[in-house]
Amino acid sequence: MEDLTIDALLRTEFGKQGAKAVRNKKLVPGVIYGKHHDTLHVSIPVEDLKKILKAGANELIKINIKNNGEVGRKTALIKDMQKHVVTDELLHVDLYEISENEYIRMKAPVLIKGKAKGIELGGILQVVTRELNIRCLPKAIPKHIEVDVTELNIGHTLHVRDIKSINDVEFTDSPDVPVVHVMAPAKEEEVVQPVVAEAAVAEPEVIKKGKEAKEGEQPAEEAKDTKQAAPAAREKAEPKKEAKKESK
Amino acid sequence: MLMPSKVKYRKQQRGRMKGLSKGGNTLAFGDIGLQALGRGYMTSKQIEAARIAITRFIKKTGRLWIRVFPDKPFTKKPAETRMGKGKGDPIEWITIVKPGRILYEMEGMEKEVAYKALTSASYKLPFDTRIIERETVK
Repeated sequence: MEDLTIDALLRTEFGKQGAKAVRNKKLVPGVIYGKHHDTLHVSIPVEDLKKILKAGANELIKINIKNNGEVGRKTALIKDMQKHVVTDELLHVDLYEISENEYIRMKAPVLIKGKAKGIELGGILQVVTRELNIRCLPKAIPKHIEVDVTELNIGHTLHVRDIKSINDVEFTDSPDVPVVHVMAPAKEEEVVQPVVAEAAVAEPEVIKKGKEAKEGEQPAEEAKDTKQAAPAAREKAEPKKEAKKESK
Repeated sequence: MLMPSKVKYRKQQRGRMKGLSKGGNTLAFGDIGLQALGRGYMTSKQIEAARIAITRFIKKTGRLWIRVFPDKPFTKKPAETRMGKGKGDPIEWITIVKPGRILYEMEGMEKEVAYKALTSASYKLPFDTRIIERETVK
């Protein structure tokens, strides 16, 4: 793991307006918190933060916090990050302060290695768990957890218990948690053009309270009566037409 | 076509569609997805048309997730009808899409094929979209 260093300024502007003012200066508002220290509000240059993110999310960061000529040093990890959903602009960053001799719990990304046997037979590799929960010392934080899938056949699943153990890293997930699965090949779906494009939209059932009849439906007894009554009504209607013809 | 099986009320008010998509704006299942950049109504027909466009490219190995569901009834009065006499009848089912919403997600296929599939799906939709990929570990 390589150490990265960034400079941060102690922030005095808070809230929506304060955060906007910070972002206008090409800085990202952030917060540093940890077990043994008070929370600090900082602002970090966007470009520096982007460089760190490029290096990887699980990197230890050395932060020089500048405040009126004084410089404080802290070591932290990126705990959380907010991005704009459309522009991908960095909006806020949470940094978790760590001490070198204390175990930390965090998530490490899964890296798939190799090509599964099942894929060559037409199976589909499904990554069920993309991040694994781990517990380790800050020195031993892995960049990623390699998962070898070459032996996986169709229908086989690789669990947390099957992953090769890493020195000084403990998996805190249950050993039965599935990580990767090779599914059987799906049937190719035939694209069928709808014959009737402008079919009338069927209306779904409307949920009503009590035993009231649903809209557009008649109560069961009434419906029966109308069915029985219908032929009789037709018979009545037909003689009238005949009578009219005769009169003409 | 997608539609709810049961509803509490037949008709709904139109509502507003300001702001950005608060949920469903990150890839949850697949590796590559189609994200809305504009806002508008997406009808069940459009959802189906885009799905068909994507499935033309998916062979046996690909998987597709549809991340939107049309649960809002859209009503319309008949042509040449005078105003009044109540709200029109439901004619189709829609979903409100705001910028940032993930519409489709895919997994298990070549990147180029997935791009082609999602591009052809984007032609069926009434707003701008972009293709986004999951940030992978290197």
